[in-house]
Amino acid sequence: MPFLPVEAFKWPGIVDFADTDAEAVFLSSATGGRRSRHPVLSTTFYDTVAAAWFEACVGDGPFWFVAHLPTYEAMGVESSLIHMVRVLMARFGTPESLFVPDPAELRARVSRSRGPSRGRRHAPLILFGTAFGMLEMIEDEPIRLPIDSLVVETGGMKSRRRDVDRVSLHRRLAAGFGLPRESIRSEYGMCEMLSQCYTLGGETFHAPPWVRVKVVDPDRPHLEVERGRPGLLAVFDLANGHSVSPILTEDIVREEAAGFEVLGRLGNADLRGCNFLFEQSV
Amino acid sequence: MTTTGYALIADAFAEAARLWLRPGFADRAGAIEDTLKCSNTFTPEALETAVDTIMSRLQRGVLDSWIAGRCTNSPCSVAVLNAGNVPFVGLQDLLAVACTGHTYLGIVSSKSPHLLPSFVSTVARILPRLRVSFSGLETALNRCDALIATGADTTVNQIESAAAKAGIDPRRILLRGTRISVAVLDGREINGELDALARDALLHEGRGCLNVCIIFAPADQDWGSVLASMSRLRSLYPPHESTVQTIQQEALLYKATGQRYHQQAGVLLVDGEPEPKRPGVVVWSRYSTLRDVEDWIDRNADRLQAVIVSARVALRTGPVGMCLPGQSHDPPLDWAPDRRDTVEFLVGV
Repeated sequence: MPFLPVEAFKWPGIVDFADTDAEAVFLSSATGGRRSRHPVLSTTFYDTVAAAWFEACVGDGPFWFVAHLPTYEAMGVESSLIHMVRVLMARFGTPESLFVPDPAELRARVSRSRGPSRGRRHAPLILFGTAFGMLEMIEDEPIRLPIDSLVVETGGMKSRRRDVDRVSLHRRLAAGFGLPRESIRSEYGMCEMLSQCYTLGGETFHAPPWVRVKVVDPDRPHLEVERGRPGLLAVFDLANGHSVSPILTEDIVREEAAGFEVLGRLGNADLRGCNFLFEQSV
Repeated sequence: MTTTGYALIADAFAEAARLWLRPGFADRAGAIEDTLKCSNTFTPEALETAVDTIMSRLQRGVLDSWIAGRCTNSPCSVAVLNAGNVPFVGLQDLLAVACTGHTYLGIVSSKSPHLLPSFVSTVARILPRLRVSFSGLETALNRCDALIATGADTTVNQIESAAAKAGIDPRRILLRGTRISVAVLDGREINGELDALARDALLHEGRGCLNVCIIFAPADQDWGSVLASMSRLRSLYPPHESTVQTIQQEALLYKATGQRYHQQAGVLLVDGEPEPKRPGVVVWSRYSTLRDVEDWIDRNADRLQAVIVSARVALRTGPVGMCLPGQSHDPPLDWAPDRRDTVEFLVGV
């Protein structure tokens, strides 16, 4: 089956309905050049999908969500990530859940706090943030979160020229927030794919049962690589039913027993260049 | 290293290159045959051309001008991670390490594991004490004192952490990132120049940091003459099967999304913004004034390897090196990838 490169979402014509019928239009973050655009026919359907897999991977709460996603917040309704976090807050969050774009305010709100209570029951904190935004914050000065907190890093691995591998990222986040490694999670999502994947305390991303994952040869995307070798992530996402389900991402991954590990990104320029390391992962 | 030591090494490489210029030379013929069986995008025509070009350039006098007496007083072991996207892409590093007096520990790509080792075995028959060997990545990292590696920007940290784990001093690591090259036309090109440009864009199936992946052309220039040159090039260098597939898939994508493109045997040119496409696809990006192109080059200087442009075009490229059409795949030995002189680095480690 041919997988459509995500680049196609930068052009019109990838949905089977009129643009005017879209309940939402998600855009990729602005990193220069043309942005991807994904019209969504039913936000109710999107919300159900987002909530179902979050609940399966993390739980049904209630949680005290605190989101630190300043660059995405600036995109407002155009950001699928912001939309998703709002959905999670509405479904599984306490009324005190909120977005905090300012790092100083965030530090003041979550440090040593036990979080607001919901009746007699304690509501664990879930801190959503971009990987690099949170790293910058804790590298200035660590923040000790309540021990039952979860940190979910998302969205920010591709915003920097230099990447940090996920093991090191999770280790630094755990140390900086004073949490065990298994309390650091990652979310994998993009505007071109309406489902999300989560890590469950390690580095392996788990996809929902309505998503099929393949790892393909970057040079020959119609061929799968040998199991355990790095390749491009190709997904078949049934949630993309009104656009294109089989999509080819630009993420280099390695298939794991129960999911996939993201190793980095491989753009068209990388495909052309002298890129030894995706052949033999260091 | 002594002058005599350098002379012996330089002579051995030059003599081996002379032998490799003979198409029937057993080491060369065997390496080419084995390389074409590997999972890569090399074609017999492009591979033979690459070997001829590289070996004809590798002469004692050229080595002398390049090395210019720059040999190390503190020889050490240098690991080199060789890419496999273009034939003999790591030869310059091999020559630099050996000629400056260091010990070379090569790691070859599974896409091209035969060319360098086979050439080295020819050299080693001439100079048995040549300090060059090949091994796996982990072995080389554990045995080396310095490292030369190339990787995508997102993997640079992976290299650094692997090197740190192996105890390599960060000052002894030369990392090269992802780079692309572009060409700039002024609309007055003659056929010879366009044929040369076609070679820059299509030889080696769009691989390599010196390959032209974007052609800037005046807004009113028709791409017909460039396509004709590309067609002529393809009659000499037929496309690899994977390029044919890429072109088919990409053309379908452009058709579905309403982008303007032209597809012919082994060639896909797409009209659009100056962003690289998959290997095998060339972007035709229109400009209003050369100033617009200069601004783009300025903004993208850190990801550009070279700008291919005719000498008559008055184009300011800042720190990015310029190259005449037809020469991008044949850089001179003293070429400095990523604008860093490899010999200088090796003398300093």
